[in-house]
Formats: sequence, structure tokens, C-alpha cells
Amino acid sequence: MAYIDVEHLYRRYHTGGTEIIANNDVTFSVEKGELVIILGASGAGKSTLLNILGGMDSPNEGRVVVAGRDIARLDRRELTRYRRTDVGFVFQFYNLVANLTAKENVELASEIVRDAQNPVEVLKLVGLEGRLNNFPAQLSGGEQQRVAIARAVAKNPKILLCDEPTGALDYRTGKQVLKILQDMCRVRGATTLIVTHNAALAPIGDRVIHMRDARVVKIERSEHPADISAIEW
Amino acid sequence: MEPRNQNAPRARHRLRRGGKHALWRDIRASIRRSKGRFFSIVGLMALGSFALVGLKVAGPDMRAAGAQYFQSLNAADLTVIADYGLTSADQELIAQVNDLRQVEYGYLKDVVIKGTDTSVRLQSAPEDVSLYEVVQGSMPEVADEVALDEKLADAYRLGDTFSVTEKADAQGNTVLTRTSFTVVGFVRSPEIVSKINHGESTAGSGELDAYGVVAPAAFDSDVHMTARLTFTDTEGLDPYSDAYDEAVHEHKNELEDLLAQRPAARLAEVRADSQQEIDDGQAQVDDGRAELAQAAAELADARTQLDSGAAQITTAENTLTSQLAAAGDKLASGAAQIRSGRIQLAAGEAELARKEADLAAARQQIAAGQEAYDAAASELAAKKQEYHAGVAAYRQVAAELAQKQDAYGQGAAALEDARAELAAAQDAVDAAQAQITAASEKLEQGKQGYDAALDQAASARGQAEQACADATEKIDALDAQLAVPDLADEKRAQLEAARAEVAVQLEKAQAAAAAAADAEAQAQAARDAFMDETYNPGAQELAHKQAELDAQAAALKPKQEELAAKEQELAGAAQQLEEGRAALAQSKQQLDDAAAQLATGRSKLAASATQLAQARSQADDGAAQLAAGRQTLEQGADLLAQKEQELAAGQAELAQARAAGEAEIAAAKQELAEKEAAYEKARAAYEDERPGAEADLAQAEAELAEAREELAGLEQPSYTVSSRREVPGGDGYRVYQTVAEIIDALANVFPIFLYFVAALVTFTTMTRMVEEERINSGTLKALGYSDRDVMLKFVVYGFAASTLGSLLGIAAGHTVLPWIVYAAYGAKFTLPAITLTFDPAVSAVALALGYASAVLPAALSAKQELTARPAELLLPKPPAAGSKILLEHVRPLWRRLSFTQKVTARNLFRYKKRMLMTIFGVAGAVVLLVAGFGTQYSISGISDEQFGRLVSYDMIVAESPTATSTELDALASCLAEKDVARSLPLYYENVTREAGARMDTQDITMIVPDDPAELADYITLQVRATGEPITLTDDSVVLSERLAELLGVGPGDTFTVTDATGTERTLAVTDVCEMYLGHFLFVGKGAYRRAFHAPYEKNAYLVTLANGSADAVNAAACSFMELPAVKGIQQNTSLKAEIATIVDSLNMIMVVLIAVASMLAVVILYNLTTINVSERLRELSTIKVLGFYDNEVTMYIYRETIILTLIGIVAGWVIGVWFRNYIITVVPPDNVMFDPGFAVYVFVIPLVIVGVITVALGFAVNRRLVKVDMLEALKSVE
Repeated sequence: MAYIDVEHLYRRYHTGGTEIIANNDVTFSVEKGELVIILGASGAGKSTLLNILGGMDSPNEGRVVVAGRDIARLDRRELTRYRRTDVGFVFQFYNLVANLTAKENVELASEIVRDAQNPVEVLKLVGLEGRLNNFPAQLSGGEQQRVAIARAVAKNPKILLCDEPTGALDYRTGKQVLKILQDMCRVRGATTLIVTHNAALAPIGDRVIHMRDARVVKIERSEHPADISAIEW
Repeated sequence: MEPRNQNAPRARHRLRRGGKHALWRDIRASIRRSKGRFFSIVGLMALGSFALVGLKVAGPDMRAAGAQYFQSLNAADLTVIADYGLTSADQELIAQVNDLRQVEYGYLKDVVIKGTDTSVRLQSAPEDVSLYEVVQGSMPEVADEVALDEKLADAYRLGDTFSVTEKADAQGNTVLTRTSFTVVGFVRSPEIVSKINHGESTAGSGELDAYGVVAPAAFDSDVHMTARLTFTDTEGLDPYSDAYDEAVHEHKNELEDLLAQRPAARLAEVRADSQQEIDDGQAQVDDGRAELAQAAAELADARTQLDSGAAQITTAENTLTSQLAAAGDKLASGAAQIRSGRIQLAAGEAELARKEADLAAARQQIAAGQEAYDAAASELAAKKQEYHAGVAAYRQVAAELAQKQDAYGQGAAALEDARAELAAAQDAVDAAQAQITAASEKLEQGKQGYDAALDQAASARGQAEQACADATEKIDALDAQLAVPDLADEKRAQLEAARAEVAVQLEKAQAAAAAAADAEAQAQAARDAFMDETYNPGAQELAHKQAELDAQAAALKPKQEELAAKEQELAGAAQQLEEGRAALAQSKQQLDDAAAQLATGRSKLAASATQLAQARSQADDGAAQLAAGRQTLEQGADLLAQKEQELAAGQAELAQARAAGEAEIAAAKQELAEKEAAYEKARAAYEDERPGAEADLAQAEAELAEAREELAGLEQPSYTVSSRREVPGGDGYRVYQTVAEIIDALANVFPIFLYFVAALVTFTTMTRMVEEERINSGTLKALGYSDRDVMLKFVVYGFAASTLGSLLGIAAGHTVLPWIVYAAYGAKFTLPAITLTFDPAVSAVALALGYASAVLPAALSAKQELTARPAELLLPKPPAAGSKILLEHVRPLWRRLSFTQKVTARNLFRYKKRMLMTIFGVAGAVVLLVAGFGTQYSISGISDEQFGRLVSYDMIVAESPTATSTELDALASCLAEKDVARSLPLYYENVTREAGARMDTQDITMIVPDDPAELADYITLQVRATGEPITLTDDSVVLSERLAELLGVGPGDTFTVTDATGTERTLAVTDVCEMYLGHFLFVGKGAYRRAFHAPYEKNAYLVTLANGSADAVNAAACSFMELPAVKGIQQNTSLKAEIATIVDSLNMIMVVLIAVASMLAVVILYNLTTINVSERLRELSTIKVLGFYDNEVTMYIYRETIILTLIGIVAGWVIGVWFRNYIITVVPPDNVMFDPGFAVYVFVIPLVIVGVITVALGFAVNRRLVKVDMLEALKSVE
């Protein structure tokens, strides 16, 4: 039994009479502590998959078992609790609350779970110990994304989901962010799934899931993933 | 980033295809997409303009209705009422006023409905001025008709009898000619327009209950009571305009100046009249007294006279007695002498008498002889005469008889002639009759011959016809036999032969019948010819002759009768002749006997005459002797008689003297007795009548004293010149105007604030919209649309929303609000329904304000945005940078806040604009609610405050200045009765002062209590703000608060009032007391004396009844009104009724305004919450993703709303208090102070309303947030 088991997952959208299938019979599994890269072009269905794993969306068919619990069968409130306790989310556009400082943005998450990490500690972890009381507008993009990662990690989530975390960042900063994510996984053992269209990132994953046209086309297992510093794109 | 922005690409796409057409489609789409916002603006504008327009037009609408009504009835502009009536002198003065259009004088009298206390004012029907509106029936035309107050229509029907009781005035006069009327109509007065309060009355309880109109003929009064005037310069003016007020005010002053001298003059007139009456009365009393004294004196005189008369009578009696005694003695001696003389005379007399008797006997014999002779002689003469007459008669009869014999012979001859003639005529008639009979017989024979011939012919024809019929019958029988079909031929032949035979017989018979018929015809013709030519003419001629003969025979008949009569007559005459001859022979025999008797009588008579002559000469000798003796005797007798006569005269004289004296004395005594009786009677009468007369006189004097007292108490009559607002019963007019003015006053504050709030929220909303559409605008601009095109969208959006909203509000404001207002006051006035008018100005203002708050901000902020380059516009506006807030610097406090509190605090201060808008919006709604409820509280409470807490007396009983001391005693005893709990004597006067915005005459009740300490039992005097009681002292001048406010005076200031005589008095205020209805002035005695330069004198009582219920007060008022010492009653009822009308009307308006404010609160909160959610959707999605539960998400944002709302409510309370206080200084009428206090509910209800709205919107927000697609929001770029 893997940590995450996705079996025969279907997700269909109906828009104006036409049916769009975003996930078509998606099946894969992830072991605890793995860093998984979900790779695919725009519209391949990877964000939909991530949303379902993050408890923000529910599949039409199939099972999504996370840490032994099928989240496909949860109701709204249980899903919210799942998001609250089990999932950390990092977005492409950071989604920090502009009116809160870096520390407060982390606190926003840590306040709502029982065994949260100290926000200041987490921010130190992402190298922002000097920017604790800065507002998002006063931070660079990378810094903002690091705050977002700190916010996601502070809750001690079972899985860390990242949707194009470097999409809005330049190369160097993107690398830094990925480094942090890799460290989070390696050092802290957080099961991390990163969605990206950048195939260059594939080597850093323990597992790489290739998606195309709403289907999983290939799953690669790498015994020795590359360190982020070793890869270039 | 907003969800709407995702439409930008779509819009762009459309624009590329459709050009400017697409722009319009985009505008329409943006309205569709944001229905909530669009209709928020529509709602805000509608509410704002509804309140603004509605309140602005409701007052003018009311006045328009009133103005039309008063103009249609030609209501008087001014009314003059004089206490003692208007005389011709007054009328001359009134006629001098400038611009006078019409003046009409009328009568009026307050009466009560018979058997009730219901007071009714009967007025004379007007001709031109202040006409009545006839609701049913007609106006009265004759003296016994009445048209009644519409409100009596329940109690009376047309044709009913309406009976009243008129109380006579002090002089006992009445002015109505009758007390029973027939109801002919129901009317409304243009002067008494309130259905609740008709003003004061001099009848019933002192409050006028109803009115009626009668024909002037129903009044009998020397003076008119009222003059109603209209003016040329007020004609057509709006009676509620300043111009009208000024004109009327000017005329009022003019009239008052004209009439200024009249009160004194009229008082002098009335005084003079009354004085004259009193003087006359006094003269009568004096006369009465004099008469009484004179009667006493006369009685005393009579007594004296009676006493002296009695003495005189006694003296006279004594004198008479002695005189009579002397005379009696003298007479007695004379009488004795006469007695002896009389005896001698009697002897001589006796001798003479014997001789005379002898002579008389002789004379008697002679006379008898003469008498016998005379009788015989006259008998003889008579018989002789008789004989001669008999001879003459005999001769005449003989002649007559001979004459009759001749006549008889002539008659018999004539008779014989007539008899012969008659016989000849009879013979001729008989011959003619024989001729006629023969001719007739001949004719009859001819006729009989013809008839026989005819009969013969007819029988011949009958036989022939019978033969025919027999033959025919036979033929028919044979035919019947032949008709049998199976007849044997043989038999048939037989039968046919027989038939032929019979046929031949028939033919013959028919020929014979024809011949017989001919013969009959000829015989008939011959007979007819005979009858026509011979028989009929002959018979006719014979009949004619027979007739002539009958006539001749008839003519003979009377002649025969005449002849018979004459024969009978002649027979009679022959018998008479015979009888006459016998009688004549008998007469001849008698005549011869009489001649023989006459001869013997003559010889006897001659012998008697000789004897008589001898006896006569003897008698004459005896008579001569007797005459000599008599003469001697007579001389002695004469002497004696003379003496006797003398004695008799003496005696008579004495008797007469005695009788006269006695009679005289008796008469004197009688007279004295009579006089005594008369005296006694007079004395008794005097004694009887004296007490009554004295009592009458005393009463008359008492009455005179009263009249003098009344005269002394007579005051100058007041000549009251009243405008429509001031006329008695004009309370309704005033209250109506007040209600309209209150609405005006409200319109000037309430909706303006309301509109301000609505406009501000609209302004913000539009600004927000422009910001939201930033990227869309950038796209349009990038596509090459001009700034104008881009702006057009917002302008159109704002224009459409505000036009729609304003028009809705304008329409509803022009109709719904006036009707609600009318519903509030309508039932209390007789005025017609409110007139809906259209006010273009306020409508234009509402539209303009709508554009100013919706279109202008859109255009301005769009223009500002568009100055940026399109590239910048395409990027979302950078979110407001987070920053430390002030609170964070307060370290200890900040540290204590929980994380969520910190977040909320920071968010609150981050969106300052929205924060202020929310606070302001909520505060605005709360201000309106607090003001609405607060004003409602202020107005609804005053009646309770005034009559529950401050005033505990039930009525003021005013004494009549002309009341006499006995009447006052009656009043005092009435006040001492047990249903009166307590009463306080005081001096009471209505003083006036012109004050207020309109400079209306303010009626001020001035009270100078007898005992200042006791006033507190009737009126609580206290300072409102502190509740500190005010102690009234001798020098106090306490002014009620509203008046102090109107005059702008406080303790220590001086002010003037005008007293009843028109003199201005100056007083210095010592305190200002709490009072809500009416103006009061409480003055100490000392202060009164100094200010009014008059001694204190009580003239009224404050009365508190044991039972203060309205019925009990009314009943008590009625019984007080019946006392002559009571001039009038002032109850608090009219004030209460007036305030109730105002309160009800205002209440209704307040309810509307509260509803509007509540809806405004809904729209504002909805709008702000929507904006808040929309602006922060991304942030909300983030925390939702982070795992916030739904209610945590809602509270994350709504906590701010709640805090802002709470702040808004508190701010609203503060501003609302201020605003309410402003309203109650601006809105109330001059004589009313609204209660400035507050009740807790005034604050709680707005809190609850806003709270409920907030919570309800919270649920709505929650539902919306649950549905929010967090992924959509998070995906887009920021």
C-alpha cells in the first residue's frame, strides 16, 4: 500500500453542452517522502489532478487514497479539514495576503492547525529570517514564493503540493525555490508533488509522472534523482 | 483581480467583430453582470428621490387642496367679532377699510341641543362670504329650517326636527325667534374644518360640539355679532403665501386702528343704556317708597277726621234735643184752644147737614121724574124714525121685483130661438152620415169580388202543383227500383213503361200548373188595379168626409149644453120672483101696525111734562134757605181751620226740624261709620300689602344694586379681528396648516440628509465600478477606442441607473407619500382630499442630484484612470501595500490581540476608503432611524408629559367680571362640592405676543395664583434640563420653555406682552419652566402689580376634580357653565385634540421615513458587503485553500463588517441625537415644544434593524463564499 494511491480517476467538466475530460483513467501511486514531478504540457490535466489531490476538487470516478484515506469520498467539511491538516499548497502566483507581513502570512496557516511549526523557525528555514515583518509588496518574487512555501510547510502537511512554483520566477530564483522544496522533501520527509510543464526539472524527482491529453502516459522511477543544483534549463 | 475581469478577453473578441455596436453590447452586458450593483444604485436613487420629492410636494399638495376649498367657498379673510355686537357705527367704520371687496354681517348664538349638553353654534346663512359646502340636502331658506354640521348626520335625518335650548343672557334676552327647526341639509363650514376640535363655546361644556346654519330670519337682534370681510388685494392669492399673510395682517392692523376707539364708545353706550335703566328702576323704587309713606300719612289723617266727626255728632244731638223740647210745649197749648172751637163748629154742622139731607131727597124725586120723561120721549122719536125707514124699504123692494119680472120674460123668448136653431143643425149632420156609409159599403163589395177571384186562381194552381209533386215522387220511386243492378229485364221493362206513363202525367200536370199560375197572376193584377185605382182613393175620400162630419157634430155639442144651462137659470129666476112677491106683502102689514103705536105714545108724554114743572119750583125755595145757614157755619169753620192749620204747620215744622236734625245726625253717623269701615279696610289693606311691597322694593333695590355692581363690572367690549387662523373654531385651519408646515420643515432636513447618504454610497459604488473595470477599459483603449467611448460606458451605466431610480422615486413621491400623509390627517378634517400636484422643479433637482451622484463620479474617475497609458491600465492596480497600522505601535495592546484580531485590525485600516464608507453608510441609516424614532418619541410623548406629569388640573373656571356677589357665592359653593377635589383661586388672563417665524399672535395663558405655594398642586413648575423645581414667589415671572425659546429670552431678560386691553406690559423673566403645549406665564402677585399697574384680583379657579376622566370633566364643565358667575371654561381637551392630530400625522410620516431609512440601510449594507467580497475574493480564496472552514472564511471578512457596522451605529447614534434635536427645534409649531428626551428604544430599534440586516447579509455572504471557486480566483495573474 503506497502513501498515495490514485486509481482510475476521472474528472469531467461540462461547459455549454460539451464535455471536457480533464483526467481520464489516471492511475498511479506515490510512496511516503518521495518528490514527485508531474510533467505535461498546458491542458494535459496535471493541475486538475493536483487540485483533486489538494482537496480543492473532487473526481467523478475513481479512488484517491492519501495516507490510507480515500479523499474522493469526503464531503465539503471533511475536505476542508483535509486541506487544513494534511495539505500544503504552493501556487504559481504565491497568493500571499498583501495586508499581512511574511510572518503573519505563515501564521495564517499555523494558527489553524494544532501541531504547527513555529512560523519564525520555518521562515528561517527558507532563509527569510531577516524579512519576517516585511509585507509581500516589500518582498521579491522569490522571497514571496519562499514565504508561500514556509506557509505551506508550517502546518506540517502530509503532502506538499506545488503548482508551477517557478512559473513566475526567473531562472536563479526558480532554482533557489526548487532547492528549498527539494530540501523540504529530503530533510523533513514531506511527500512533495510538483506540477510543471518544464521537462528539465524531471531529473530531480524520485518519480516522474508524464501526462498528456488527460492521461498518464508514463511513470518513471528514479533511484538516484539529481540534485537541483546539478541541473540546468 | 476580479472575477469580472476574465470577461475582458471575451469583450475584446466581441469588439473586434462588432465595432461600436459591440461597445453598447458590452455596456448592456456589464449591467446584466452586475444586477445587484445596478439595482443598488436604482434603489438608493429611488429612496432618496422618493423621500425628497414626496416630502417636498406633500405640504404644497395639502395647501393646494385647502386653497382650492377656501376659494371655492369664498372664505372670509378677516372676521370681526364684538362682545356687545356690531352697531351701525361699527359698520360705518368697517366699511372704511382699504381694498374691501365684500363685507357680510351675520348673527350667531351658541345653544345646546334640547335635553343634552351638546353645544351647537347656530349661525345665520351667508349670502356671499364663507359659504357652506352642502354635503346633503340644501341650505335653510326660511326661519324654521336648519342645515346641520355634517357630523350630526348620524343623529339626524333630513326632515327631522332639531330642537335647541337657548340660554338667556344676563338681561334675560334671547336672540333666536324659535327653538325648533326642520333639518333640511348637512353642511361643512369653511371656518370650522376640524372634525375633532371646534373651539370654545358659551354653551354646553364650554367646548363647541357642532354647528348649524339657519336663515337670518331666525334671529331677532338689534346688532350683528360678526362681520366677515374679503379683500380685493387677497383675491386669488394663495392663502398660505407670505403675500396673503402680509395683506391680511395689514388689513387686520387697519381694522384694529379703525375700531380702536369703539370699545370705549360702545362701553359708554351700553353703560348709558344700563344706567338709564337703573335710574328708571331707582325712580320707580323711590316712587314706591313715597307712595307707601303717603298711604300711611293718609291713614293717620283719616283717623283724626273720623275722631272729630264723632265729637261733632254728639254735640249736634244734644242741641237738637233741647230745641225740640221748647217747640213742643208751645204747640201743645195752641192745640187745646183749637179743640174747644172744633166742638162748637161740629154742633152747627150737624143741624145744617139734616136740612141739606131733606132737600137732597126732594131734588132726587124731581130728577127721577125728568129722567122717565126723557126716556119716553126718546123712545117715541126712535120708533117714528123706524117707521119711516120701513116705508122707504118697502117701496124699493117693490120696484126691484117689477124689474126682475121683465128680465125673466126676455130670457124665455131667447131660449126658444136657440132650441129651434140646434135641431136644424142636427138634422143636416145625420143626412151626411147616411151618404158616407152607403159609399163605403159599395167599395167593400167591389173588394170582396176581387179577393174571391184570386182565391179561386190560387187553389187551382195548388191542385196542379200537387199533381206535379205526386208525379215526380212516383218517378223517383221507379228510378230507385230501376237502380237495383240485378233487376230482371222484365220487371225493368214494366217499370220503365210505368215511368214513361207517369212522365206524361207529369208533363200535363206541369202544363196545368203553369196555366193556373198565369190565371192567378191575372187575378192578382186585376185586384191590385182595383185596389190602387178605386178602393184605396175612395176609402181615403170617405175617411176625409167622415172626419169633417165628426167635426161638425162635435161643434153642436157645446151649444146643446149652453142651452140646457140657460133653461136651468131661467127656472131659478122664476122661483125668486115668486118669493119676493110674498115678502113684500108681509112688510106692508108691519108698517101699518107701527103707525098706530106711534100715535098713543105721543099723548102720554105730554101729561108727564106738566107734573115735572110743579115739583121743580118747590125744591128751589128750600135750597135758598139752606144756602144762608151754610154761609154762617162756613165762616166759623174757616177761622178754626186757619188756627188748626197754624198748629199743624207748627207741628210739622217741629217734626221736620226733629226729622231733619235726626236725619242729619244719622247721616253723619252713617258717614262716620262708612268712613270708619273704609279706614279699617284701607288700614287692613295697607297692613296686608306693606310687607309685600316692602319686600318688592327691597328686591328691586337689591336688583338695582346688582345691576349697579354689574355696570361697575362692565368692561370694554373687545373687538376681535381674526384671520382664518384665529377665528373661533379656526383651530382646524391652523392645525391643517401646521401639519403641512411640519412636513415642509421635515422636507428641508430629513430627505436632504437621506439623499446625501444615498448619494455618497452611490458615488463610492460608481467609483469602485470604474476601478473594477480597469482592465476592460485598458483593453478598449488599447483597441483604439477613444477616451470618450470608454467613459461612455460608465456614464451610460450611471445615467441609466440614476434615471430609473430617480423616476421611480419621483413617481412614488408625487403619489404615494401625499396619499400616506392624507391617510394620516384626512379623517380629522372636513377638507377635501389632498390634491396631487406635479412639482417640476423638485423633480428636476432629484434627477440632477441623481446624475451628480451616479454619472459625475463615474465620468470623473474614468477620466482620471484614462490619463494612464493603456499598458498600465492592462495591469491590475497594484494592491494597496500592507503597512503597519497605528495600533501596532501601541505595543502592549497589539500584543494582547489574537492573530485574527490583528488581521482584522490591519484590514480595517488598510481599506480606509471602504471603512469610512461603511461607517458613514451605516451611520447615515442609523441617524435617520434614530431621528425618525426619536422624533416619533418626542411628539408622541408630549401629551403624556404635559398632562400626566406637569399639569394636573382639569380645567380653568373663569369668573364673569359682571358676576354679582350672590352669583359668586353660588360658584364658591359649587367649588366646595365633593366632586371637586381642590380648587385654587387665581388671576388669569390671556395675554398675547407676536413671535415665531410667521410672527403669529401667540396666545399666552398668564396665571397669577392667589397662593403661590399651592400652585404646585396643580402645575409642576420645574427646569426641564435639571428637573429642579421652581418655587413661585411674590416676585416670580416664570415663562414656559417654548415661548422663552421663541422670544430668545432667559432668566434675567425682560420681554413684553400685550394684555387684554392692548397695552404692552414689560416683565423680567426669573425662571423658565418645562411645558410642551401652549404658552404659560406664571407671575407672582407683586410682580403682577408692578408690571400691570393694577391691584391683584382673582377672576378664575384652577380646578382639579376627584374623577379626572373626560366624561366627568365634561359633566362638571357643563354644570359650571350653567352658573351665571362663570364666564367660560378652559379645558385641556382642545390642546390635546390639536396635538393628537399633529402627532398622528407626523407619526405616519415618521413611519414612512423609518421604512425608507430601513430600506436605505439594507441597500447600503448590501452594497458595501458586495464590494467588500468582490474586492477581496482572491484573498478569501487563498484562506479557503489554506483550509479555513466556511464560517471562518465568512467571519474573516465579515468581522470587519460587523466592527465597522458597530462603529457606524455608534456614530449614527451620536449624529442621530444631534439630528433629532435639530428636527425638534425646526419642525414643531409655535405653541408646541417637542419632548427633547430620548427613550432607550430610540437607540435599540435602529441597532436591531441594522443588526438584523447585517446578520441576514452575513448569511448571504456566507452562501456566496461557499460557492466561490477558489481555483478560478487563484489561477489568474496578480
